[in-house]
Amino acid sequence: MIRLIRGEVLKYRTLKSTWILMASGAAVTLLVVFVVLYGVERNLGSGSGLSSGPAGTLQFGSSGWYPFTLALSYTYSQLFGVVLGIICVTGEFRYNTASFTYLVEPRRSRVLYVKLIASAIWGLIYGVLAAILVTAFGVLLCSVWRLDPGAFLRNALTYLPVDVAGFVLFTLIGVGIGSLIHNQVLAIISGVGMITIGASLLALIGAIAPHIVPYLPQTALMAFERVPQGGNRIIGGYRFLPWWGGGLVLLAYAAVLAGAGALTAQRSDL
Amino acid sequence: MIEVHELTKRYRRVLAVDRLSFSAVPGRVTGFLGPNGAGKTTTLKMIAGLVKPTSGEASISGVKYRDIPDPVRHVGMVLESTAAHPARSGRANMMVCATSIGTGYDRVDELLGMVGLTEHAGRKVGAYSLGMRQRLTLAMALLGDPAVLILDEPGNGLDPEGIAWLRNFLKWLAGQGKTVLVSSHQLSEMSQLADDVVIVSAGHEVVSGPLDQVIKGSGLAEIRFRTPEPERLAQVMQEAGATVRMDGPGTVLVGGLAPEQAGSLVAAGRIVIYEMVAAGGLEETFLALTGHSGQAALS
Repeated sequence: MIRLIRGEVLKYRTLKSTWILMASGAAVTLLVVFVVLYGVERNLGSGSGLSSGPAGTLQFGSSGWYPFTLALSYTYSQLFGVVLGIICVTGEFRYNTASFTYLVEPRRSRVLYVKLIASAIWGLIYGVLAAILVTAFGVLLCSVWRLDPGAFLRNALTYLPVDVAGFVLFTLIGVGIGSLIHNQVLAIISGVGMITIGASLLALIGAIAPHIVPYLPQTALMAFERVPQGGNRIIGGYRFLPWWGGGLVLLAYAAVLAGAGALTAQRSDL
Repeated sequence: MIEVHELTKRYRRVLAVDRLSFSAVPGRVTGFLGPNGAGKTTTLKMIAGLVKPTSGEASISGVKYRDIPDPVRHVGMVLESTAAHPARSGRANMMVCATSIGTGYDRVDELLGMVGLTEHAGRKVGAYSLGMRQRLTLAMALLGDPAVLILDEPGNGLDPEGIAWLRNFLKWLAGQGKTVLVSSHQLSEMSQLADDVVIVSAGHEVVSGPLDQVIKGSGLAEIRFRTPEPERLAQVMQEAGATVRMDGPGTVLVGGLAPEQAGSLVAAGRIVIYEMVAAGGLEETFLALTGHSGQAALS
């Protein structure tokens, strides 16, 4: 089992697409950090509120500011994590390497477990690298623009474990989607669509079945990233799950998708 | 040893493999022959558990593939030349396989050298020729030093030099006591390589056995003589019980005799001959048995 995991980890490492995806995700997040902090710097100059949204006006450095403005920006790079997980599985079918993988380990559900573990390892690596980059870049910008780098650093470190765990969860969800949909393009479109379900669709689902909303991937993610603050977890009329509940919902998505994918794999011919 | 017993695969209305039974034994190369769509690849995939049989079973040394511990250390398979990831280098593909199998990277270098890819090991597989990819997948199959080797059309894309190399290599492997099962449509090549043959058509077995017996049993094995004395040669051969056909002026086709017997009769009768060659072979036997004609049926 260990050598199979090592083999899967090596598969990730020896593909340029892994590094391109991670670099692209990190670059997008750094861009968001830049834009957000630039907005803070401009608003400080005019003396107005710093950041506003459904949660109300938030002051830079306050406990609600970081998760609302920056943790969600991780969503962009975490989407690249989803794609990473999808490619891990669908690439095997796209390039016909699945037959050799199944020759090495004929028990297909075991192959999927191995892929989940290897993807979690890469999700962790990706998350840690992204968090380090965001923290370092944010502190640097705060220093240059004479904001409070200490406040940024404290917030970044506080939310770092959750942010990194988000990368792991999203990569696992990607593996689950890929194991169910073997067509790479279709799987990526489905995965990204599932995570970034539009606000209008959210409103539609909310109108039909409001009790489902907290369990949708996007709202579960917001709960996990601690966007709703304190005891009042209501945003836009929807009651959010506690952060750990959001994490469990995301984990459940990965498990259900991977389970369905494992069942499909058992029955399919190559 | 590979044993296939009553193996059947049905895809909805299509019967791809129909109660196929055969075996491939250690120390011999078994050729698995059949026209396109005869069910060769499906059969090989069923042996490896990649395709689920509708009924019947296949085993390797008495054990189903999925129940063999560390299967690639016992069975090496070359099913598709595209089994290596095109975005990885040849060496990276081998390293991934070696890591999964648990063999050292020194074995990777050894095999890359053995298949003649050392110089190209750092190049992306996507830039490889078909022949180079065939060599790489063969090297991947040999990583675990398996006792059983199953190859699906391994000669595809190889140049004449590569085909000769593959033939000698597979013969050498069989000489080491390994079981080698090779599917191919290159009949002239298989007649030089295979010790035993299994000929299939439309999913079922047509004939199987040692190559020389299959050809002899088909009644199509003939010896072509060019001689200035065709009538005398025909008479001598007929008296020995052979079938004789005239094939143009000065050319006689003799069937039903081994080349050694025919040669002895020619010498004993002091008959002058210009040429004596085996005229009937695997290709004629295959075409007669499968009901296909021409190379188009085989390509």
